Amino acid sequence: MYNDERSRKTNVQRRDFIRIMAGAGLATACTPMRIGLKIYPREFDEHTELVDETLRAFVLTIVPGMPEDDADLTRQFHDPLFRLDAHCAYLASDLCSRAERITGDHRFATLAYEDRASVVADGLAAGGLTTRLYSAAAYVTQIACYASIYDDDKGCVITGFDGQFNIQRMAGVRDPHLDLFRDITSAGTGNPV
Amino acid sequence: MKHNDYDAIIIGSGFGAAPPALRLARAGLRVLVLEKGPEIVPRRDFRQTQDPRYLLQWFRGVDGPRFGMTYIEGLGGGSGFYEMVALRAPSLAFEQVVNGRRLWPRELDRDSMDPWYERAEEMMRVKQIRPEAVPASGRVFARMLSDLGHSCERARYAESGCINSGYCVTGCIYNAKMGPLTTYIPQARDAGAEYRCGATVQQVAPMREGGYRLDVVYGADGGTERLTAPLVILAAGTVGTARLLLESRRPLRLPSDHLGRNIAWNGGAKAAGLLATDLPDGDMFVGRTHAGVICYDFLESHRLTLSPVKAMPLMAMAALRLRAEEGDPFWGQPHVDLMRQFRQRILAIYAMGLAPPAARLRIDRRGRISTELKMSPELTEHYRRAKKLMNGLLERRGCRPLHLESVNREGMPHDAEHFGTAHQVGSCRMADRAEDGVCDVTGQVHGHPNLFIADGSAVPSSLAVNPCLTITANSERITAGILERLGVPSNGHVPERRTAAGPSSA
Repeated sequence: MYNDERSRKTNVQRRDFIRIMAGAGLATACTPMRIGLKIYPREFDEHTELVDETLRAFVLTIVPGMPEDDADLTRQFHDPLFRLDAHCAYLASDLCSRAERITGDHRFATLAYEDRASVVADGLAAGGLTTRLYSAAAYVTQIACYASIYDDDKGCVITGFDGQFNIQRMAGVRDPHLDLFRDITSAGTGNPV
Repeated sequence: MKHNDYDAIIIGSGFGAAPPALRLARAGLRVLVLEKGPEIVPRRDFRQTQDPRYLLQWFRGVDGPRFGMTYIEGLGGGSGFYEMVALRAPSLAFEQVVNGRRLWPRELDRDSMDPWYERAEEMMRVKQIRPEAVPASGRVFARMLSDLGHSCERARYAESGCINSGYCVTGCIYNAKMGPLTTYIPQARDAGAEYRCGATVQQVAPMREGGYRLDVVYGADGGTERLTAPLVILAAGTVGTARLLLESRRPLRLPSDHLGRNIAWNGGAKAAGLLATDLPDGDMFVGRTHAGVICYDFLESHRLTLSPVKAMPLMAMAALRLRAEEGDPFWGQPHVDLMRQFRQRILAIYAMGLAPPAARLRIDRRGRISTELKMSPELTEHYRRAKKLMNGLLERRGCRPLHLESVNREGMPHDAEHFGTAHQVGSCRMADRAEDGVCDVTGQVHGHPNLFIADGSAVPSSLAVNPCLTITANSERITAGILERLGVPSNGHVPERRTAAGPSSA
């Protein structure tokens, strides 16, 4: 598939990238971002596993330490809320072409973390629409991973976020210092005049 | 056109709408409340989740290059989702002067507002947090301030039976959060007020014979209705009320140049730091969402209050890029190393100050709204001093300030300093003279008898604290004035039916 260099270079087609959306900006989400027209190899349309493994590697570059077997690792890219689905193939293609230029190996997913980080940094610094696409992808990835938006019970292993109903309540509080407030309040009521 | 027979129609159902709905219904008036958003039943509808799709059922936003406002469309307005902190505004808030003019009407100050605060606090069961319930983030903040010789107050909350589950801002599934949704609205319904959700008022127009005509659209299907009432109270919030009046400007012949302008928002400066090694852990995820304490020590010197912030992951990630150093990447291993400390070792601080009103709401020909903010020298200086103060406190106590960068809805850094808030007030501010504001001290729109504004849009200044209690208290005051005009005794009870058509504009 993608290893067929000649095929990769000859089978190109135009893709309309209008209306990419990156925004999980909550209250103000869902405003389109215009990306314009791009070109990428057909393989990335024909082989979804290539796209998926590349995007999984992207996620593990943005948030290293996430469980690699997490079933939701790339779900944000296909979530209609974020409107990135139509642009996954292009993103994967761009990661691979940058990988080839920077490391000599186009298989982004198999690169070491440092090399993948160099590729992502290159994409983020590319300017214009590419920077916007990489930023958007990183943004929704961080939201999905750190906030565990697809599984209320899972939480996040990196931050120790518990998810719902895993609340430690106040028993988990250390260093109570209950006398502190009696010593340092100026009004005592919380409502100074 | 359907015939209707309401004495009073209230537009909106949040903090500003709650007092008139309850008091007027109890006074025997036929009251209709129109809420644009859906019905909300806390135990049925709320979830403990970080799923943005869940929140976007109710959360709305209006944005611009430098200023964005978040608000709620749903029964009870923001009362289902606020942090339940309920503080009276300090005296200084009422004494603010801009361009030689006192922002608040002459007769309003903290003393005159205190009875109304008391009434609102009683309704919403406001009480000071117990020391043992202060979350760890609040305690470490208090410790830091104590070490630096400053004071810290335990804050006050509208709650009953809070178990500190930590999901205040996604809606309390235990019904422990008090506010219009859980206090005023059930009582208003018991008193006979009718609530209609999914009802968008498109325009308000005066009628020749007195009173007002409302064009209402229901739900997505767009069923329409024209309602009339002798008394109309606007309480759709700083965005909703301003938008409605902007869309009604022609029929109402609103002369005010202040409509949609003069929005204040407490300034909204943030800082965060890695805790000094000798300070105990905080905890972003344990205890109620608001961190339990507030510092008033810098109110006179810097015109602001300081509070620690417990950021839920979704809110933090959606709003900010966080870096240990300015040149660090906002992603990858350096960022993960920082995020591993997010829960226990990062202290975030929020400054709420008496920043001057500076933002405005714009509406274009297609009905799309946006914001505009012009940075005045005063606002620039307020923000600079707030950031300097917070980072200075962190550094003096041995903490390491972090680099925060606000991002837009695409995850890109804003081109210029950008303020995001849910504390917006003042788009239709009260003022003694028509040339200085949209409504008078009684809440009545200048030149429009029996058309009142009772929500945050009437509040003319930043408050240095969360505005919910002040909005409610001011609405209680405005409602009492309306009842007085109607000749209703102060106990609110009338033995016979009354209508709002009686009193004149006075």
